[in-house]
Amino acid sequence: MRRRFLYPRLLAFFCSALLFFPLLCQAQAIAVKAKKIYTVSAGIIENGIILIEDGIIQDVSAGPEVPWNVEVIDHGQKIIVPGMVEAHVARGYDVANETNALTPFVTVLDNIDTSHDTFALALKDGVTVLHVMPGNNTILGGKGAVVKTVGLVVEDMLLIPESGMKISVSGTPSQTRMGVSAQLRRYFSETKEYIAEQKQNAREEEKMVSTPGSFRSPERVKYESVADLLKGRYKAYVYCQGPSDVVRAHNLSETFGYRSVYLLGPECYKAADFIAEKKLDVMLDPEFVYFERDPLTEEVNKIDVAAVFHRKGIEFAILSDPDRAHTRSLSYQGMKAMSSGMSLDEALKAVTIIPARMLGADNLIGSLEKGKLACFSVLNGDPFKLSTNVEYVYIEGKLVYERAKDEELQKLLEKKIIE
Amino acid sequence: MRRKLIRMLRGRSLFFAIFLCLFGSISSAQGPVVIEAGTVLVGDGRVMKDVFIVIRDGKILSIGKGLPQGVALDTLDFSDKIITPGFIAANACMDVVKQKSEEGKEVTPGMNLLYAIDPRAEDFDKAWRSGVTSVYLAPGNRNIFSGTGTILKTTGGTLQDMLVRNQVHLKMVLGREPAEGNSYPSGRDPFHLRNRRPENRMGAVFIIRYTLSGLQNKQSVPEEDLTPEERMFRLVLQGKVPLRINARSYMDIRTAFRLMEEFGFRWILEDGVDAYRYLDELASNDIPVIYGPVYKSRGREDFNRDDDRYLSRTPVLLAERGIRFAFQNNDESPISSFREEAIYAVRLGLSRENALQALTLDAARILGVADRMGSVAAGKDADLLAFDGDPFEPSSTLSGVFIDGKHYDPNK
Repeated sequence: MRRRFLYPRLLAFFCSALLFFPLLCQAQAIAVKAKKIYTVSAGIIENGIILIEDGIIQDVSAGPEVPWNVEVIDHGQKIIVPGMVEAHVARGYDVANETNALTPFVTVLDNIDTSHDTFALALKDGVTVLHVMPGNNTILGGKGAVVKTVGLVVEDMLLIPESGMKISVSGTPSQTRMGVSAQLRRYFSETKEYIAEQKQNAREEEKMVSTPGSFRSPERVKYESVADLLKGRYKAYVYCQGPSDVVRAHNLSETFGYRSVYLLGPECYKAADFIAEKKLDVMLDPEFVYFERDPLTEEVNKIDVAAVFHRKGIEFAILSDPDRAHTRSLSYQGMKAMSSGMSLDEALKAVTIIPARMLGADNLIGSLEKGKLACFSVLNGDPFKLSTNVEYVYIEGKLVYERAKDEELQKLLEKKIIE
Repeated sequence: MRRKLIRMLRGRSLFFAIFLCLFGSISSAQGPVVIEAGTVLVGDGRVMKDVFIVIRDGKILSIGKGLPQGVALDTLDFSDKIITPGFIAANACMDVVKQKSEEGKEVTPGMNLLYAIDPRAEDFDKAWRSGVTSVYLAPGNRNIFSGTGTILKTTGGTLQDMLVRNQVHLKMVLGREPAEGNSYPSGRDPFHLRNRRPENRMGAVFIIRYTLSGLQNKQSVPEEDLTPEERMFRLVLQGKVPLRINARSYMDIRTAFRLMEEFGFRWILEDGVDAYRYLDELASNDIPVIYGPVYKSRGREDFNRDDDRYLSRTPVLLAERGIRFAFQNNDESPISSFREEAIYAVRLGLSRENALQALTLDAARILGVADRMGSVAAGKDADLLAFDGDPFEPSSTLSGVFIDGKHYDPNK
């Protein structure tokens, strides 16, 4: 008797499943509402809505028509800013450098520790994309990767797997600048020869039908990643400690024809005119304030590096260093940039669209506009204010951080004392 | 004719004297200067709006709505700025002394850091350029009684000009730092130069007891028969010189309380990393705390991660209990980021009034120089800061510094 009732029920279930199937497919679409949206690319939108489908922004405007089947998340009086982008971090793993100075073939993909503090701290601050790079203490340091700040394994986090080559032209404690330059030139020349040889081989391969591939040869391991750099597949991220290093690094990249982004040491403010003239892509040292002693008069001068670059009209990306109190997070660095004379708009650009452009990912991240990934954070006040907290963070349309559910933060802020 | 000449000269010299008086008072920094201030955060919690601060001879002459008649000459316009008292680092770690500890002996109360300070060191420039107008500098942590500290202004010429007060507190170090690396190898002459005690915490406490109880037994000995070191200890036991105890871990704080009960000295807790564990005792015994840095990078070896949350919240907890506290820095945080300590404490829940008081008036009270500095009040030193905006907002700039009435530009 019972069975007779079961079939209609099953039938009803299947029918309803069929009916709602298209809806289930569209469940990824959401609309996020807030009092103010800082789009970076198109100014501030009051009472705006971001329409997101499959993690990609469909529309950002004051009053778009929200389809009836889209879930609307209303953040009320909160403020939305694009997820911040840090264009160079040498952390997120245990050891920053290989001991060998010439290791262009290594990649941070093998090194990234997804449970490292770096990612959690960045996420809490509203940083959604990090460019993880090898450290400064090598000559050819290896390849970096652009990652999102959430994921269990590296593959979940990846945005750009091989994003750039780390180069340092400033010498190491054991090597002079001329030694470093010589080694770089030699490596690049050898790579050029290798590329020419590869071309030759390719032509011969066309003639002969079957040749054993050479992908396992040590030659290939040694030169392939630098060959990719010289072919323009990715940029070089060049660390320059002093002003003369900037010029030297620029000449080197002109000679061998690769594109560069320059990581400047604090003293590089002296090369500001050169940088402005050549329109170089630069990132400033986290330490904005530089003290310098005149060797003759012994007078100490204070130089606000960010202010110098700002006055010359140079666009730069801002970096942070959580090991020091005064450079601890990217939002804090934004506040300090404002104290150096930048406006809120300019400071916001220096942590969003400008680094995104340097990474070559400004079609994906860096601002809130149609077609880009829906990476943004929801704040309880205007950005770059001390009292402002990051309440929610969305990465590709998914809610990945909620302040109210951040256990670690709750523990920090609770008033109880254990005995 | 001669008389005539003299009379003529006299007449001229009178004119010249009047001219000199006028000109001199305008141009020299010692004459009265008036600051037209938009907002003044006094330092004791009060806020004054649109007032004139009159400075003469490096001191604040008056502060109020109206200008005193007949003295106002040179007016500086700070009507759009926020004026605060200069910040005081109650225990500054600065690179102004090459070797901070006298390691030949473990009890060196006669040591005075003043004679080792290089007044032209770069860290003094960094300090005043970031708003720290006075610092307390003390000998290092490698001795049990390591000597007395000095309060200095961070700029202003020679060391004599910068000196505020010498021999302020006697420093005592509990914990493992005086014992680190010490050894007492068997077979060697026990009085060998390279042997150093203590070797651990209890050894340190033994030496303290041994020293102080020796002094207690000498109470009937007249002053002139004592050595200079013994005289210093007598001042401590009489309560005239406070003891500043560097006690980082909770067991060292416990030890400090025990020693206080035994010997009855007045003390100040320095580098009170674990102060949050003894809030009741600190409050009931009225013991001030010097705490910092507030921001700590993670993964420090000294502390386990569980404790980190309390470390940062400590200023808030101290303020809630009404325990007087001031900020310090250490070798991990440069003096140029001293304001950041307070900013971070504010971010974690400390009120702005409490934070400013800890940076200024409470620090001055702990150092015993509240009659000279720590707030914007008549009669005190004219150590002032001018901010473009809220001093606890990182985006606001420090745009002017006054030390002893002299105006400096911190952004040069």
